[in-house]
Amino acid sequence: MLTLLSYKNGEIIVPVDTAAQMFFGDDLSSLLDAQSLLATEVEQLRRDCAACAGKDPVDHWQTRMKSVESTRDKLGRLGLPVTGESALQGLRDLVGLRVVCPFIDGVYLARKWFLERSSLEIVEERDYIGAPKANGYRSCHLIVRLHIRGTPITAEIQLRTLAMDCWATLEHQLKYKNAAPVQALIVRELKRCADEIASTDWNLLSIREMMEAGIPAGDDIMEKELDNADSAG
Amino acid sequence: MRILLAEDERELSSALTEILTHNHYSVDAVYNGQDALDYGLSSNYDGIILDIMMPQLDGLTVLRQLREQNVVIPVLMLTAKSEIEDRIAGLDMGADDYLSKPFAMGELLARLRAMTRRKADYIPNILQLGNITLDRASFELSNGETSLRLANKEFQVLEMLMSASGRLISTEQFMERIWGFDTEAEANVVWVYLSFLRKKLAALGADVAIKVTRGAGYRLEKLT
Repeated sequence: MLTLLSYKNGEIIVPVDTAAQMFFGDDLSSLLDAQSLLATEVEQLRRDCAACAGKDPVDHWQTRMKSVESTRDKLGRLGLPVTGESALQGLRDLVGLRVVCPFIDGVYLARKWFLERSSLEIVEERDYIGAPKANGYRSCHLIVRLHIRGTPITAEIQLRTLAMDCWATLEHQLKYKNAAPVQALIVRELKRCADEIASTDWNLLSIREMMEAGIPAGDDIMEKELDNADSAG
Repeated sequence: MRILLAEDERELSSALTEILTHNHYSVDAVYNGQDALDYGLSSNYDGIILDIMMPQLDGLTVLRQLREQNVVIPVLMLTAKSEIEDRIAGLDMGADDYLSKPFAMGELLARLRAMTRRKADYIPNILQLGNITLDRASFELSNGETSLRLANKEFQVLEMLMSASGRLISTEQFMERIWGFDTEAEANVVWVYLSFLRKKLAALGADVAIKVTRGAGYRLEKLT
């Protein structure tokens, strides 16, 4: 019997149930291989950046496979046949990788690394950092296609900061999507929180950079400013 | 924006200070008429919230003396319901608006916004420069696609830059207006906040940037 597993930071966490074997049949092993391939990729990203930039931009990461239950639900909602084959063709997030970075520059570093990676075919990029969703959701999504023994598998890579991940995790727990009368208010307030968090993300990066470069004393600020203006202009 | 709050009821004063600070104003609180007059004469506030019934000097006397000495800072009077005569006298003496107690906080904030934008050069609630807007009611810095919500002092620094219409603002002016006289903050705190703002303007792809002029100060300039 196949050993069906899920990985988190390289460690085994959840055995995949046998329902997945019945639903996806032979394709299941391709999906699981796609998942472990993404795990290998992100570990390579960490090694490459540590070697090149001197630090690992990743705090933690996680891969997951969509559960059979939510796969069926989604196919039903989209009006597609509820079969493993149709899921493989019609859904792009059966396999997912989420990479969480301490600082926002790490997100852009990771994005660049994935975009330049020849082993991954980039199908689409959705930049929800540059253009957040209405509720304020921020992350960079890369839709990629992997070829596992000739079977194309589409997967979604989500890149975000710890602060964005904190917001997204709590938002997910709120389950407000059917709270009709107060829905608009909740969306507006969630966006306000997300916009504050995004503001803080940039401040944390500024603080780190100040610590690296040093904060000038009052008298030296003007000189430093003019030096910067010269080197920029 | 810097507000002088003259209100002798300590609990009301501290609640107002809390709410005003939360709404990104800097607040100096005084508790009697004499201090209100001294502070009003010595510092350049964007607005004064002035209670009428106060020890030492009443609010109307403070108002009259400020106006006599050509202090034109907008004044919002706080009066009791029964003090109709005081309201009339106050408005005629140069108060810009009044609210009778008890009042709703939302109305006080709206009147404060209305009063502080009725200056010689009209300051709208949404400041725009280049492809960037700053909303003075929601504190959102936006490029139309995405917005960042600024914290109190960051917002005030950018508000000063965006409403300066090209005039240079010195570090001392930022310090005085936003941090206040009796601050223990060091001068480089202004630079730290300018750095935060520069990072955010860049993140939003702004076509304006904070530029420096030797010995004079800072202003927002269009990038060429």
